[in-house]
Amino acid sequence: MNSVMIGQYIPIDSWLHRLDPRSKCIFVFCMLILIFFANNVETYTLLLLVGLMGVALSRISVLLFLRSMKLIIWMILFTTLFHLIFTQSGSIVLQTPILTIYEEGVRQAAIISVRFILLMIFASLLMFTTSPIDLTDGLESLLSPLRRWRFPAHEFAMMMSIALRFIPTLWAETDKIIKAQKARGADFESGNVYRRVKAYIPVLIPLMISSFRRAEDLATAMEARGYAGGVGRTKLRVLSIRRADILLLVCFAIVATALFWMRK
Amino acid sequence: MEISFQDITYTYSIGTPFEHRALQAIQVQFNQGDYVAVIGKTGSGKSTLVQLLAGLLLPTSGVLQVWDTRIHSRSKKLGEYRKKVGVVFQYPEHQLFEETVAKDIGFGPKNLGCDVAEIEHRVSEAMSWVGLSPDLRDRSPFELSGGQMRRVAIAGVLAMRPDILILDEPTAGLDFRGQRDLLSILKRFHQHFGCTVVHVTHNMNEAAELAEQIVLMSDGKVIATGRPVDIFRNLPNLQVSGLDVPDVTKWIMSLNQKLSTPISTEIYELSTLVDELIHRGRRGS
Ligand SMILES: Nc1ncnc2c1ncn2[C@@H]1O[C@H](COP(=O)(O)OP(=O)(O)OP(=O)(O)O)[C@@H](O)[C@H]1O
Ligand SMILES: [Mg+2]
Repeated sequence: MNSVMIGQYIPIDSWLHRLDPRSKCIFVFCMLILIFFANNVETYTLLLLVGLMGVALSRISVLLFLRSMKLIIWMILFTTLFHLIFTQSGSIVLQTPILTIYEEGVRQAAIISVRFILLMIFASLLMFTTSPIDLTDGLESLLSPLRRWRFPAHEFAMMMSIALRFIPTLWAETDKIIKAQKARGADFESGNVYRRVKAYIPVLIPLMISSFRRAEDLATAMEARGYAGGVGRTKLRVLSIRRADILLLVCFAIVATALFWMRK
Repeated sequence: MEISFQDITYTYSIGTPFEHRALQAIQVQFNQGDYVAVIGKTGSGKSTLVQLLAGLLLPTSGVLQVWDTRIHSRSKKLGEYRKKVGVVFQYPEHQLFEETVAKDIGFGPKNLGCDVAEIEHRVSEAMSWVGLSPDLRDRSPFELSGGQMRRVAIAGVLAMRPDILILDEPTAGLDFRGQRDLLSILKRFHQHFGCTVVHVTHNMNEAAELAEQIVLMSDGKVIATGRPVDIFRNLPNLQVSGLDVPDVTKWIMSLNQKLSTPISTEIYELSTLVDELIHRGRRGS
């Protein structure tokens, strides 16, 4: 496939890349919550500015962020349309024989779109700048207090890291199988929806078979190397909170305070 | 020269940090009906080259001319073109999906628009080409051995009777016997239908034995092309690309050091070499 996938780690070096994954996770998680507290133009602008600063600090091309937006563009369009058509309060903005658009509808549509965009920016920032290994190590460490209530933090993190690890592999495999079936004359591009979906059967079946084969191989390989869950396992790279991480959390505190001060 | 690559470049993931130029300024021609071997060490761009030829990738720049089809960076609707090209990918058994062997082999001909009788006929024919016994027809392809699955997958491509047959390392992972069988199938199929065959391989012995033309790749470029003799005579070229001469040639060269009249190093087939040795034995030299 000729494009970068959503949420793929972009291995370059930047201030954001070097941060501890735990502080990034906490920061992004709190930011995502903060988005729902914004309620006027000033607060949304503030959040957008923070997001754009993050994009600049990540030193990742804006194009890649735009490309990840492509994924949610339909969701945005759909909800926008939904609000424009069905929200009926406030003064009338536009009146046509088939459709009347109200002020409140436009407002809701704008809010939802900006929220989606903000969510995507912060989620992309985390995924683009954190390697899958860091991400799972960070999550495991953050979730480990839950072990007291029998939450399998290590297993959960391991499952996640395996899933993340295999996304590119599965993607490459899909690409290869699609090519192979195309070469046998399979047509994925024409016909109605039903025919197009049916055309993917020759791709899905081999893909599923190879996933099961891979899962089995991986399980065998892990067992053969003595993997026995998280008990007694030590780590080569120990996560450590540095000054930059504290700076990040201070930044968050400032943004949050500013936001609560600016909101109506 | 019915197939020509005209100054072709191919770049993967263009415009992202993962951008990778896999092919650079490729200029090469194949004759219709020739058996072409593409050799080069791992990562040299062989698979990319043949995927371009198969119409599965579009060149980043340059033009690929195949008969009257011109393929360039903005080509569309290559469906018709692809029907004339058959591709056997590496580990083709991973793409089987139908309930029965016959249905899987018939998938290609069905897509070509053949009627039931014709599909039937082509499936039986393809199965006999690859040496699958007819009682396997209604078995599930997933119950077969790895070698049999490979044969089913290859039969699925042969059944399309392509004008250009592309094989990307078809012998990878087979035992010696399996490799020999497959090579002889390919050779006979090529002679019988007179199609152009493009065979990607790491194995110099395969290339020397079967090919009429060899394309030697290194680092995304074609560094030499020509008859096997021309390629294997040029040792520096081979060493640059990290390859070696075929075993037969090595053997002949070491034998020649002890002979007053050397044996021709243009012999690549074991049977020809044996004939030559017997012939010499009779002459008593
Ligand atoms: N989907 C892809 N995305 C990015 N780069 C790729 C992709 N496929 C191949 N490449 C790169 O392009 C170069 C050429 O790859 P290609 O698969 O054509 O090599 P090859 O000669 O077939 O190697 P092998 O003998 O190992 O099969 C390699 O450096 C490879 O890393
Ligand atoms: Mg290859």
